[in-house]
Amino acid sequence: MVKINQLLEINYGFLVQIMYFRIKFFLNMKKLSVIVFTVFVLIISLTSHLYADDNLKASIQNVKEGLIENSIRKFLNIFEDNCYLSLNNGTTGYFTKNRIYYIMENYLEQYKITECDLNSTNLDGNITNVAGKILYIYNGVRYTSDIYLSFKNISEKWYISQLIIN
Amino acid sequence: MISRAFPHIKKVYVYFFIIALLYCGTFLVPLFIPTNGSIDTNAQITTIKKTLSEFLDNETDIFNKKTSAVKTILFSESEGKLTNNIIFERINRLSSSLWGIYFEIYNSNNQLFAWKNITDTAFVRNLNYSKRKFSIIKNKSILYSFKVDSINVNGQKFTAMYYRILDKNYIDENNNTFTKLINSKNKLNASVFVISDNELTNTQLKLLHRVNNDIFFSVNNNYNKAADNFFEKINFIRLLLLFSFFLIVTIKLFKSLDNVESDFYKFCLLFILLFAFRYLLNLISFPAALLNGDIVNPAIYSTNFGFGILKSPFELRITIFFVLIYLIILLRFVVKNNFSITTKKRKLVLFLLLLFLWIEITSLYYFVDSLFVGGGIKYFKIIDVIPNFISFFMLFNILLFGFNVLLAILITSLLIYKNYLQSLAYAKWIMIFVFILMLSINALLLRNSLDIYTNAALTASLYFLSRYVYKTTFNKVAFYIYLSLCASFIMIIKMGSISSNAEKHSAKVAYLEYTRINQSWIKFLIQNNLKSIQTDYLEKKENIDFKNEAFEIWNKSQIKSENLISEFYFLDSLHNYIDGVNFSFPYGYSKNWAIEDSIYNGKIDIDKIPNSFDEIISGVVCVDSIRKFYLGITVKYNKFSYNVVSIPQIIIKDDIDKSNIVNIKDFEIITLLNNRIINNSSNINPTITELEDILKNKKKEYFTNVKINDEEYEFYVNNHHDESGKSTYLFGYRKSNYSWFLYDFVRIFLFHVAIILLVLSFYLLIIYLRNKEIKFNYQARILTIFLFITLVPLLILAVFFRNVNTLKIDDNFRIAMSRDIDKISLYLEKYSYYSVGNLRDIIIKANNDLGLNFTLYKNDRVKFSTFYDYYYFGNLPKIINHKVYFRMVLQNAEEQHVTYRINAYPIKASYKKIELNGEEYILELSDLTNSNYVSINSAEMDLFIFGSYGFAVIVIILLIVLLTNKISYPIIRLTEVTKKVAKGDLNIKLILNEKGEIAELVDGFNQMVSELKVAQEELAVKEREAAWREMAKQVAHEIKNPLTPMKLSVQLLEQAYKDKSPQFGSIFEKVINTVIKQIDILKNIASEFSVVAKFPSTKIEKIVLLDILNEVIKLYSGDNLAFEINCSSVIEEFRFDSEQLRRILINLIKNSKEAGATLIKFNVEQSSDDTILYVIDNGRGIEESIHNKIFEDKFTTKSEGMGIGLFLTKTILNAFNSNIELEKSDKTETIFKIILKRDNQ
Repeated sequence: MVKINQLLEINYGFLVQIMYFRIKFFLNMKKLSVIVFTVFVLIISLTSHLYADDNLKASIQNVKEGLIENSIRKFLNIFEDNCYLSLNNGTTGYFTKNRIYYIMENYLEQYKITECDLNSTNLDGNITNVAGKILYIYNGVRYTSDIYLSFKNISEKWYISQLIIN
Repeated sequence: MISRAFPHIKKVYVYFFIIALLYCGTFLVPLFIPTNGSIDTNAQITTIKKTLSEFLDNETDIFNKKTSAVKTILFSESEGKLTNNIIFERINRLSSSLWGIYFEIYNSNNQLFAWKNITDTAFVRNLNYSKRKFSIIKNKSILYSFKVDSINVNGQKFTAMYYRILDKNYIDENNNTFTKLINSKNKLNASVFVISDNELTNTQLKLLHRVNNDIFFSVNNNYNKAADNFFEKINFIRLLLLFSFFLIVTIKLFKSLDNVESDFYKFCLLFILLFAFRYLLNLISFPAALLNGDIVNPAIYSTNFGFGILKSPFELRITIFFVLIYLIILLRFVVKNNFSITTKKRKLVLFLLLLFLWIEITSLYYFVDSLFVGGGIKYFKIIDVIPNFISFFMLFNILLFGFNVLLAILITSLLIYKNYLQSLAYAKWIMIFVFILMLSINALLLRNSLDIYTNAALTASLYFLSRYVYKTTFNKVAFYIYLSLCASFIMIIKMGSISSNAEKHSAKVAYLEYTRINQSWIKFLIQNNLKSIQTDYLEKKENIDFKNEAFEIWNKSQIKSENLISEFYFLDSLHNYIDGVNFSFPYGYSKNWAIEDSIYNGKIDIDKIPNSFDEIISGVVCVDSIRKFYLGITVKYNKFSYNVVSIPQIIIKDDIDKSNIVNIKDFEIITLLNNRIINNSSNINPTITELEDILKNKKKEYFTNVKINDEEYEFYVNNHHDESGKSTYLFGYRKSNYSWFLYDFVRIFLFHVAIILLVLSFYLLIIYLRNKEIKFNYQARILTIFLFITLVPLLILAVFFRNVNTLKIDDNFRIAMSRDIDKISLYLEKYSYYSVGNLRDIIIKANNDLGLNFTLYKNDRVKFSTFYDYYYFGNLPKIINHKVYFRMVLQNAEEQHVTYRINAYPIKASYKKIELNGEEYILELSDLTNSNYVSINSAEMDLFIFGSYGFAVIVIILLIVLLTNKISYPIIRLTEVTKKVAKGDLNIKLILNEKGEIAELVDGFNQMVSELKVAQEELAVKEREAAWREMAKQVAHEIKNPLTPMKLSVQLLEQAYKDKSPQFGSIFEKVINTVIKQIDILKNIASEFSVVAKFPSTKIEKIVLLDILNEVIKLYSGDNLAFEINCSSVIEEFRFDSEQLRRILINLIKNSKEAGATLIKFNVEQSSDDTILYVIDNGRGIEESIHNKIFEDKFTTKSEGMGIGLFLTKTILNAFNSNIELEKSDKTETIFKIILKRDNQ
């Protein structure tokens, strides 16, 4: 027991001290170090952005997997920035990518999609419409709904311009 | 207990261990319950059967009671024969609780005798209903409770059929009302459908078989309620455990912050700690995961910023709450230190403070922007006067956010002012300049135009609040009320100024929505819809109701959800039209399928209508390969117009939240093709010259201002190129016509005032519960009385005005409807007179030519209607409204105006008798399908009244506050001055620019004070003389005391010398010691009295009280004495003798030390004229019996004391018009209150 106690003897004051020195270190850094650090952070943030896929099939597959696995990140980057969203929980409107992330996350928390079949596609110029069915569980009860997606080709990349679950 | 159980381990680790153990345990629990979703079907069926039976029993009970009540009223005995006139009169007398019961009454000849709101019950008459008592029946998509009764009144026999609507499946198929009804009533979580036998599928369970094999209840059989509940509970426990863990760690870390020496780093760490805790809560979604609905819906509000801690209205509230905690801790700290910063890195701190100031200002701008972009503009366009819960919640968030930002800006500004600017000349002006500079930088960096109104409001509020806290303290409730009001004011001004940006954003969204429904999308929807219909769709069905089948297909289609102008219909083997439904589809546009079109599946035709840009997009599919029936779908599309039709709310879901989509009708829309105007859906007619700049501009999209008819318009322009050339879309709005009106401002401000009052009431309640009384000052009492006197009549006036206006609007509405109904009747009468085609064709022509939808009744039934489908599917009653029948048929009225409700939506309708081809009809025109009557609805009128009266209320409140101040100010000043006089300050003079009685009172008061002063001076002279005499007596007495032992000692020495005593040496030494000791005492006496007699010359200068306190404390650094300084507000510099003040403080500390004190606290407060210093020690205290003597001269309890210290202190303070009092003294603490007058010259 004594050993365990010693093992756990990293007191909170120590943690606070570590944070304290971190801040102090940053504030006392030389100008050059600050510039290097800032540039590094900027590069990391800018390059972390993923771009839309030029392969439509792969994008559709990502949407399917993302919906079933409740992982919006799988297809978040292929949403157009002013995307039309209409969901069967009453949400309707044009949203930015980030807001779509939160809205879809909230939606998929409540509507647990177990199956997603996107079978009907139609390519018309630079627009591809996709339709299918989803099977979901809401409040413990299973339902089916229609799902519609519209992809728009912008600079050889396919972006989702509307997502409708009705 | 835990410490005893685990003596070697810290308590907190034991908690962690228990939490970890429980958390792990939650993962083991599923091993003991089934998790694969399989269910005990029999048990579930039994439960649901039982629940349904209970529901039906209950429904039977309610239905029977209500129908009995209806029966009693309608069929009570009457004198003579019971006519339908009497029955209709009685129907009008039915109480509102019985309005939900519909009925039709037949006489003994089986003729309809009387009725109320019948929808479509023809099918019932085909059933053998006479044997039934109560049942559930379903027709098309509507479910009824149903009952038949036979009545005999004085030999007259009647049959009554009663109905109550249980459900309308077409409203929401997946979540029907019946399911909701059963679930909410029984806390069940099942999906219950009412279907016919032939609709029953393998996946559904046949549960309850009701009468005549026509109705079944079914539930989905993949449901495990117990498991679902269990997992919900487990998740809840996990969340609680994680929250407990984070909370304990945060508290421990928070306590450890005391170890950090530097205050700056301490607050940096505190910020990181609170942010980390907030972020962790967000990661585990606590407590948001336990809530549902709009409050946690990101569609209501969310912003890109904040890593998810601002992703819903609730998360926003939690984050604001965390910021508030941080600000309160910071405020307490800076106030305690009198806003002084002690650091060597002054420049770095100044830079950081300016940075924080900029961030605070920017956050305000970003937040309001996010409300528009991230939350839509619904909070500011609340239609109802009383906002719904979520709008109210967001308005509260807006107020709290403004409160936080303003408090943060105030703290930062005061820190900059006190530490860097105060000593400079024109310090206040420099501070204002710095603040305006920060606002300008903000505008420059954010590329916003300088928001003059918000910046002015922000600067003015800040100036006002700074002045206020300088004069009083942060502890006053009034300060927080002022802060909240200023916050509300700033937020509203900012929202108002940013609304122009929101309009821009809306114009773009309007364009997106306008063009989203394009040819490609419509083609796809038709194709997909046809694909989903099986080729044997109709094969199993006999006696097909084609219209109803078409309605059902449309009802489930995306074409319905998009509200497209469409037609769904069936064709026979020869491609002839059988029947179908159409939704605003133009007459004559129907697709003619040629006989040679033999392959239909997947075929989409686009036919262009000559001389217009209209296109007809059609598709057809075989639905019965044996009998050769086809389903056709046709949608009208025009690239240059909006392709959406408004479908009456009675047949669409009412919970669709379309508030994020702008109302396209709000915009002036002009579409051009190759610089030629094609469609103008606006109220303006611009010339090509006025649009010249737009036509020349080749940019894909941009915003531009255009002057049309001397009015400034802002347009969103989008140019698009395709095979037909350059299409240009203009979406504009008149700049002077922003949606931000006065009443929006007033309304939100009043909501905020209501919130502030609510919080204030809560605070007062707590005060009352604690102290059992609430003290209101004179000003507050006058204010309350004035408010009551003025607001009550205003409220009565508003209600009266509203009623008068409602009547006026109703009148206007009736006049407009009468005008149109006359137009229709004239048209119909004219064309029927000349017999141009049959009546049906004339009606269609009238509908097209006049653009009005109407219905014709023959006797009591619908004969023709331009929207007959709604009657056919039971959405509207096929039999004329009973009130209209009663007045127009039985009582022969010519015209009637009636308001009735369908699905809770009020419908206003006008009726007129007309004669066509020698037959009498009743013409009905309602606002259900004619939207052009909506000039101002009741909600808008309420809003207008609320706005104008709200504005009046604000003006009245402002005037009352000013008036109250004016009335109460002399009294308040008189009270303050009287208190000072009572404390001994007779140099004071009350100066007020008043006339009349108040001026006389002031003069009288000033005269009284000056006379008092003369009397006091005379008394003082006499007292001084007496005191000197007394002192001389005392000096003599005190000097005598040591002289006696000296004399005795010298006499002893003389005697020893004379006696030649052998002990002369020791006696000599003893005497010498005694004499020296007594001489020392004499010296002490002399020096003490010399101090009393001779004050050092006074040197009045500007002093900083806290600096002097710190200097004095330093003198005692070696002693075992602890000191503490607390300030409740910013302490101003004042004029005093610093040397004398030090002497006073040293004297008090010396006294405390001698009384055994170990801790001395200095609490500093500031009133308008005085600085008050409380000296609090934890010494032995002063006995109560001598409390009134301690300031007397020569009064002491110490063996070696002279009793001069406190006397001296009081004398010095009085010389500076100041004073000292013993506030309290007991065994635990002693408090001296020193009142220092600030205006010493």
